[in-house]
Amino acid sequence: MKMTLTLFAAFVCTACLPLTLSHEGNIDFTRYKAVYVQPVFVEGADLLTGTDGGAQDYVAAELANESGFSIITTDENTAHDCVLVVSFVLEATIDLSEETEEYTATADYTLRDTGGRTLLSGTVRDESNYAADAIELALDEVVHAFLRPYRL
Amino acid sequence: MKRILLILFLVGGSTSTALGSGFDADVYLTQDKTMVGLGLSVIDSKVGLDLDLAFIYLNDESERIGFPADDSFVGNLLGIHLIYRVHKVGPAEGRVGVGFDYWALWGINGDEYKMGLPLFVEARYALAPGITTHLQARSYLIASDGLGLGVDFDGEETSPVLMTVGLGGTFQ
Repeated sequence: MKMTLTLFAAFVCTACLPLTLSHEGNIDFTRYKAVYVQPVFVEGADLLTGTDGGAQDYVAAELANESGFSIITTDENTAHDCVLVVSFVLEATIDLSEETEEYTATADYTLRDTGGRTLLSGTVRDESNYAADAIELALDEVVHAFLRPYRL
Repeated sequence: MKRILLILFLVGGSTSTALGSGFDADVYLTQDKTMVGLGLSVIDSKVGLDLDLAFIYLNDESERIGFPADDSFVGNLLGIHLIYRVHKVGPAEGRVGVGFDYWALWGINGDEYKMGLPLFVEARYALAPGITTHLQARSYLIASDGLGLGVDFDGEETSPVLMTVGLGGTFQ
C-alpha cells in the first residue's frame, strides 16, 4: 500500500503540466498609452437624449481599473494619443399583462488615434430588467474590449 | 475556500456499489495553479453526460503579468461533456468524451472568458463498493487564443494535455 501511494504521489508530481492563460490586448498599449474618453452620447427610454457625464466618468473609472491604458482622462486638454467615443441606445420592452420591463442597452464604441484613424470599434448589447443594470453591463463590455494584456 | 474544496475532495463520494453514474471531487494537475473541482456524471450502459465545475487559483509564487500580486482567484472552469464507456472489466472501465469547456475568468475581468472543445480519455477504478478513483487526460480540438494547455509562462510548449485525478462515489 505504501509503495502504491509513493508511486501515485510520484505520478501526480510528474503529471503536472503547464497551463497558461493569456491575452495580448486588442490594441498596442505600448504605443497608445493615454486615452481621452469623450462624453458618452445616450438616447432612449427614461433618458434625455444627449451626453452623459456620469457614463463618461464610469467608463473612465472602469478603464483605469481594467484596461491597458496608462493614462485615462475625461479632459480633452490633457495630453492623449487616442480618443474613445462611446454612445448607447436604451430600449424598453414593457409587458403590461405580466407587469415586467425588459431593457436593452446597445453601445457602440470607437477608438481613434489623434489623426482620426480607427484603431478598434464594435457594438455590444446587454439586457436586464433594470435600465441601470443594462447600461452598466453594456459599458462593462465596452471596457472589456480594452482589457489589459495578461499572462498567468 | 481552498480548504473547503480540499475537504470536499477528501470526503467526496457517496455510498453504493459499482462504477456508473456518480460524482467526483477532482484535482487538476497543473503547474503554477491550483485547480480543484467537482464533477457529476450520469451514464447509461454506454453513453452519458458529464458536468464539471472547477475553481482556478494562481499559486502565490507564480509568475504573472497583468494580474495583481496579492490576488489568487482566477475563475472557474465549467464543462459539459458527452461520455462513452469504451470498455469495462471488473472494477475498471475506460471512457472517452467530447464536449464544451467554458473558462470564466472572473478574477481577471467579469467579461473575460476562454472556450475549448475538449476530447478526453479517462480510466476509472472502483476502490471499494461505491468509491471510485479516476485519471483523465484532456486536450482541446479547438480552443480560444490564450488558452494554452501545455504552454508555460515563457511560452515553452510541452504536451497540450490537462490531467485530472479524482475520487468519488457512484449512485445506486
